[in-house]
Amino acid sequence: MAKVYMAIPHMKTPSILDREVKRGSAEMLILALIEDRPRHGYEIAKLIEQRSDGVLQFHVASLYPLLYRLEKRGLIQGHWVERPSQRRRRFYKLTKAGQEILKEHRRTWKAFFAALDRVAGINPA
Amino acid sequence: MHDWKNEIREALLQLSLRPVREAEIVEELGQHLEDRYEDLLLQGYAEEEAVQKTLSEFRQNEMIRDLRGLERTYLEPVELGQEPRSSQTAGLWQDLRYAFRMLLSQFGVSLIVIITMGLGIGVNTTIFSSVELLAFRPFDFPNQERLVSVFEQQRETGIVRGSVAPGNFADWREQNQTFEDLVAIKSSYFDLANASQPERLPGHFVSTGFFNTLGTPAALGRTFSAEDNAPGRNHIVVLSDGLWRTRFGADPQIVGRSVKLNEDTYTVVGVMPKDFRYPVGDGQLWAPLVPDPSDRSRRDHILQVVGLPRSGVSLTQANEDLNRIAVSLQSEYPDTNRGREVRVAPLVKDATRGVRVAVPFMFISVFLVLLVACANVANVLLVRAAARQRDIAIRLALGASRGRVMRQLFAHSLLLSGFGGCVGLVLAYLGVKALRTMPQDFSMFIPGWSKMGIDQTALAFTVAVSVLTGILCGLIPALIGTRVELNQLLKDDGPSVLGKSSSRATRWLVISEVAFSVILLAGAGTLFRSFQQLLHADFGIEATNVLTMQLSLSGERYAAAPSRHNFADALIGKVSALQGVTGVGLASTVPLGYSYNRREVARIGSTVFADDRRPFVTFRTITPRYLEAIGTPLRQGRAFTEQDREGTPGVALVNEAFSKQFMAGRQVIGENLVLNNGQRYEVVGLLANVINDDMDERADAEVYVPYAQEPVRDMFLVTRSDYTSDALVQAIRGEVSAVDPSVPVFKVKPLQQYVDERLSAKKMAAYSLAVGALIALLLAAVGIYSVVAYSVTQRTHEIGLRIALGASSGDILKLVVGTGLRLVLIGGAIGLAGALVLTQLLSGLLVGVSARDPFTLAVIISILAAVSLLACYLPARRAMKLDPLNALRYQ
Repeated sequence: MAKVYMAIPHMKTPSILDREVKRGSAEMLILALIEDRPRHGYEIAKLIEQRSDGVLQFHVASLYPLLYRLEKRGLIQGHWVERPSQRRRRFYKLTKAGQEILKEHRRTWKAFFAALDRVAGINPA
Repeated sequence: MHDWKNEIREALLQLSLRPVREAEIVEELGQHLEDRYEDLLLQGYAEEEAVQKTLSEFRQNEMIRDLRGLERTYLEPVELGQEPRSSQTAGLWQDLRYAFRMLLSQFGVSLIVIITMGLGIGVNTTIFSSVELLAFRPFDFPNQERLVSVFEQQRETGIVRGSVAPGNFADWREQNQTFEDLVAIKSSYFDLANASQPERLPGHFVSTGFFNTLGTPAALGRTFSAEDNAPGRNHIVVLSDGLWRTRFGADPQIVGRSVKLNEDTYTVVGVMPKDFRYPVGDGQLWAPLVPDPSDRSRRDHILQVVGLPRSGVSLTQANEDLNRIAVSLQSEYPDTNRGREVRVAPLVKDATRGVRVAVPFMFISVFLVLLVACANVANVLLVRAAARQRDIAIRLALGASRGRVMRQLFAHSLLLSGFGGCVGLVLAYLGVKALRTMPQDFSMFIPGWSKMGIDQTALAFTVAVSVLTGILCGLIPALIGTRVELNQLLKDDGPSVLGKSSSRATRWLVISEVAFSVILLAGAGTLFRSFQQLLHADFGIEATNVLTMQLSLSGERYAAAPSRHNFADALIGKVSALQGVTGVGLASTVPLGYSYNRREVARIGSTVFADDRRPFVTFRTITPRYLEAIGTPLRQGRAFTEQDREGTPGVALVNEAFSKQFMAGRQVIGENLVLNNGQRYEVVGLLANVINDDMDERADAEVYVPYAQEPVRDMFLVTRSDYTSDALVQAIRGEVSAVDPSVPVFKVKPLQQYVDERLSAKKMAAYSLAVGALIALLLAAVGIYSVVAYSVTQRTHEIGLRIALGASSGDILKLVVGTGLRLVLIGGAIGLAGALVLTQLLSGLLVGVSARDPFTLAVIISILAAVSLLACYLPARRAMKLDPLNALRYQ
C-alpha cells in the first residue's frame, strides 16, 4: 500500500489544489483527533499513522508548523502539562472556534465525497 | 543518546526567535524526536539506524520554511558598531517610558523634585507673564509700536515730560512735516446729570483724530471724525465699556441717545472696547476737543500730545522736525517759550518707564530662585544617580555608550521638569491672580494691568524654562553619574559610593544654593527694611480715621467767589456738628491725592525772580481747620483763622522745605512773597513738610493760602472723626445735599487708603522678593539637610566605629554638623560678597536704608545660621543615636 504524506514534502512545484487539499485534510485530522480530549504532538502523529493503518503519515517537520498555525488562528490551544515522573509535555485542545471549523470541514468533505461517488462511483464507506 | 535539542536549536537559529519561544519549540520538538527514536528502537531498529531515520524525518529546511512567517522574529540584524537611526528614535521613546517608570517607582522623591521645580518655574512664569506684558505691550492699539508721546522740555527747570500749551500744539500740528497726525488730550471732569445726585466722571477731551491715530475702532457705534469739529456737531461723546455697563445697563440702543454732561446735551455716538483705557487712568468718556483758532495761549500747559509719525520717519527725524518749530517759537514768543524744547519718546516706552526700572532686578531675583531650585534637584538626582552607579557601570561594561546612558538620565530630568512646568503653570496662574488683587485705584495707572494673565507667550516661556530647568538639573548628574570606574565599583562591596567628583559636585551645589539664597535674602531684607522705614516715615499727615471726598462747585451758580465761600462755610458748619467728627476742612488738593497744583513764585522778600527763572512751588488753598483735620503740624507762627477773609491782607503758610530752599537762615514769619498772579502774601506760619507724590521723593516747597481768600471750585472735604463708617459717609453726603443737592460728591476714600495705594507697589516688591527669598532659603535648607543626611548614611560604618572607640555624642555632633556648616560658611561668604554688589541695583528703590545695611546683613546671617544648624542637627541627632554594633555591621 502506498503511503501518503500529508503536506507538501517532496514535490518541487505542488499544484495549489494539491497543497490545499493536503493541508485542509491534515487540519481536519488534527482537529478531529483532539475533539474528545487534549493530546500532545507525538500522540497526534502516532494516532494518524495507526488509525490510517500507516497510509497517512505526519512527520515532525510538517506537523508542528501546522499545529502552531492552528494555534495562532485560535482553533486549538496548547499548554504545558507536568505529570509526576514524566517530562512535561505540550497538550493541544480544541477551542470553540476550532469546533466550528471542524464541523465546517466535515460538511465540506462529506459533500466532496458524495460528489465523487456520484460521478465516479467511489464510496468512501 | 543523541542530542536532538541541539539539532533543533541550530536549525532554529536562522529564525532568530525570541529566546523564550525558541526554548519552547526546542523542548517540544526534542520530545517528539526522542519519542520517535524510542518507538523506532522498539520496532527493532538498531540505534544508529533509528537516529538516522529520526533525523531524516526532521526535515529542517521544510520546517524552517513553514515556520518563517508564522513565528515572530526577535531582532532585525544589527550592524555592529553603530546604531540605526530608527532605533535611536525608538530609544528615545524607550528612555521616556523608562524615566516614567523611575518617576513612579520613587514617587515620594519625584513629588518633592516636581514641587521644587514647580516653585522655581512658577515664580519665573508669574514674573515673566506680568512684566512682559506691562513693560512691552501694555496696550491693544494696532499702532502702538509706531506711536510717540510728545512733551515740552525745559532743561533749566529739569522738566522733561512737560504738558503742552495749546498755542504750541497748534503750531506743531500745522508746521510739522513728519507726522501723519498729532492729537491732543485734555483730561477733565464731566458732571453727568442724574435723577438723584449728579455724578462726576473723569474723562477726556480729545482731538477728533485721536481714535484713528491709535488705530482702535469703537466696539459699538463709531468714534470721531474730522467732520465732528464743525460747530454744532461736536456735542457728541464716546463712552467707556465700564460706564456703558454700570451707568447705562449695557443698553444696545445707546448710540444716538442724549445725555446731559456739564449742563449741556451730548449725543452718544459710540462705546469703546472693554480693554481700551487711554490715556491711562480712570477716564470714562471722550468728547471732541475742538481746536479754537483764536486760542494760541502758551502759558497754560494743559495738553497731553500723542503723534503718529509717517511711515519711514525715525524718532530722531520727528524730534528734529518738531524742535525746528520749537526753536522758531522760542524767538517768536520769548516770554512764554524761552528754553522750551520738544521731546519725542516712543509711547509704549514712556508709558512703561516705571515698570521697566524694576524689570532687570525682578528677573535676577526669580532667576536666582530657579537656580536654587535647580541646584537642589540636581543634588537629589545626583544622589539617585550615585545609588544607581553599579547599574550604570554594568550597562556601560555591556557596551552601552556613555551618551546613551546620559540620554536616559536626561530623559528622567526632562520628564520631571515637564511635570514641574505643569505645577509651575498652576502656581503662576495663582500668582498672577494675587498680583491682580492690587488696589485698582493704584493699578489703573499702570497700563496693561487689567489684561494680566497667562497667555501663549507665557506658555511658551514656561515650556522654555521647563526645558532649561530639565537640562540644568540633569547636566551634572548626567556628566558625573556616568563617569564610573567599573573595576573599582564592582570590587567594592559596600553601599554604592559617591565618587570623589560627584560628592564634590554635591558640595558645590549646596554652596551655590546657600550663596544664591543669601543674595536673595539680602535683597529682600534691605527692601523690607526700607519698606518698614516708609511705614513709619513722617508724611506730615495723620492718616488714621480721616475720610476724604471730592466736591465740585460747577456751573453759573458758583461763578462768583462769595457763593463758593458761602457753600464752604455752610458745609463745614453742618459736618462739624455731626457726631464723632473732630475736625473738618476743605483743601484744593490733599497730600498723596493724585492731583497737584503748582504756581510760580515771582518774589520772596527782596528777592525778585526773572520771568523765565521763576521757581515752582506746590500751592494749596485750605480752610482754617484743615490742618487739624489732616494732621499737619504747625511749627511756628499761627494757622489761618476765620478772620483771614476776602478783603483782609493776603496771608500764607509755607512749609519747612520752602523755608530751607528760599529763606535759609532767615526769619520766615513776617516775610512777604508774591506769586505769578501778582497777589502778595505775608507768611504767618511755618508748617511741617508733607509728601505729595511718591513717598521716596523729597518734600516739595509749598505755599498754603486761605480758602476764604481764594475759593476754588474743585476741592477735597477732609473729615477727622473718632471712627470711620459707612454711616458717617452717608451722613456727610446728606449734609452736602442739604447745602446744595446739585453738588456732586465723588471719590470717597479714607486718607489711609491713599497712603496704602502709594505703598502698594513697594509693598508688592518687598513681599514678592521676601516670598522668593523664603522659598530659596527653604530650598537651601532642604539641600543642606539632604547632603548632611546622605553623608551620615555613607559614614554609618565610620561613625559606629568612632562610637565604639569611645567618641561621645558631642564628638559625633561636631563631626556631622561640621560637615554641613563648612558648606554654609563658604556659601554664605560668597553670597554676602554677591549681595554687596547686587544690592547696589536696589539703591534706587530704597528709602532711609543703605544698600549695605549692616543690620539687615546681620539678621540674614543669623537666620541662615539658625536654619542651617537645624538642617544639620536633624541628621546629626540620628547619627548620635546609632547603635555601634548595628552600625559596624552596616554595609
